[in-house]
Amino acid sequence: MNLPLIGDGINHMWDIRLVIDMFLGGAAAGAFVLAVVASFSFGWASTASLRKAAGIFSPLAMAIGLAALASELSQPGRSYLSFTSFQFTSLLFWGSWIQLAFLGFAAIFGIMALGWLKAGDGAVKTVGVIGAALGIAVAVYHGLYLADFGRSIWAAGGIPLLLPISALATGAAALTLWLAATGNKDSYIRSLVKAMLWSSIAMLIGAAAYLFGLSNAGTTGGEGASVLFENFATMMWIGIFAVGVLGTLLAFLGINRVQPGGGSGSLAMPAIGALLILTAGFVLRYVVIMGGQLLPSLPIT
Amino acid sequence: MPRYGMVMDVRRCTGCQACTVACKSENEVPLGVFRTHVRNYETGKFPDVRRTRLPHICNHCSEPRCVKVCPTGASVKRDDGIVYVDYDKCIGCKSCMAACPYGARFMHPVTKVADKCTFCMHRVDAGIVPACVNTCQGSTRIFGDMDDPDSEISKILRSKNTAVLKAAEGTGPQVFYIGAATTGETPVSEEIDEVV
Repeated sequence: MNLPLIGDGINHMWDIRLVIDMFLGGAAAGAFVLAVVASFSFGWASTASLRKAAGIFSPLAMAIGLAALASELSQPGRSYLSFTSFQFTSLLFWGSWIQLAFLGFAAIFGIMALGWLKAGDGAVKTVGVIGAALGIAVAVYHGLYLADFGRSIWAAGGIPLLLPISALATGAAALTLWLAATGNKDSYIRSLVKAMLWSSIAMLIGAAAYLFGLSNAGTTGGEGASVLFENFATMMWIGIFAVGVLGTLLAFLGINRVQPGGGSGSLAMPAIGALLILTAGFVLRYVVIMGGQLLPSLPIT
Repeated sequence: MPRYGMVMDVRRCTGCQACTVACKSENEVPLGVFRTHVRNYETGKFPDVRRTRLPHICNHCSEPRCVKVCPTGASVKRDDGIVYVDYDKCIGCKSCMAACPYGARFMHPVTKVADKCTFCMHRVDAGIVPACVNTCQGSTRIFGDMDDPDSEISKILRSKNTAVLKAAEGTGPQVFYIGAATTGETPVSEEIDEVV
């Protein structure tokens, strides 16, 4: 066996706080986008409770995520420099502004939804549309940020597509869980569970396609796939696929029990499914982010 | 304006790590992290086993990814090619560490900012070679202005076959290796992937 005598060639950069940031940021973005799309689809009058849920959850989750990210910086007191240095070649510079802008618009949207700020329909819709656009940008940014580093686990398997899909699934799950907890009985609730169901199916298929694509992406991709399977096999099979499939199955089985105006227990099964889908989404991001850091910067065999 | 680079003549390296110690002493690099070190490999199969070495250092790339991804401009490439960290601007996001294909960067455990080899630019600016070059007993490391046709490094680059680490990454390393690619199917030859 050939081993270097000094160092393992592996740079460990980030801990679980980056996972928390990307998970909560993705779920916040997904929930916000879904709430705005649903409002346009089902009418703004009948989806007030959904906007209220997204208006509270999204800025709160985004703020907690950004706080986790800021605490991960070794010089958090200087984090303002990432906004004021205008390094246009850096995705993190763009991401800092995009995430801050999304947080701002989501917060204003939430304040409007709670009725603390009186505004006309036009203003609410404008804030919602801009916030949704920024939410999509946040979800896409997470994937592009990782892919930009050129490490195979982040760059060779379609992560920039997988993370936005996962954001949508976890956002739908977060909203479902929130509305179940608050005993919501509105007419759109069944469609929300359907959105969670289909987006979680897309997330699971996307995760499988990602692993397949990574395994077949040449030598470096294969090396990345090996790192994932050697270090995270149990976590992947159980945490992402078994838990994700179970959550999706519960959402599927629970849809017919979801009745607008139904009893408080009608959302129980989809709510448990939502919890499992959130878990799968978190584990997916954990495996991807931690796995990418396990790739040695120089080959060691 | 000079354009600095370094040649590592691996054939002359004994793996004594004097460069590692000199660098740590000169730049007050703490325990556990390195701006440069010599990596040792055992290669081949018994009875044809040998020890090979590969000195590692920041490659001061002509297209440095660390500079591109830095959100605050803390990672800087000087006109003479030296890539360094402006410690007062570093927020410790570690993006540069993720972007460097060579693992040349680390978080300084005391100052809590990204750190790396600077080619000892404080010495270079004073007209002195980097500490690792100064201390190398076998003259493995040759440092100088690659745009000066009379410099030793220019003459070597013109007359010898040299290789760079991970050329396929497209970062344009300015640290060149002699003799490292002659060890056959080894980890070293995996790193050295293009003779220039």
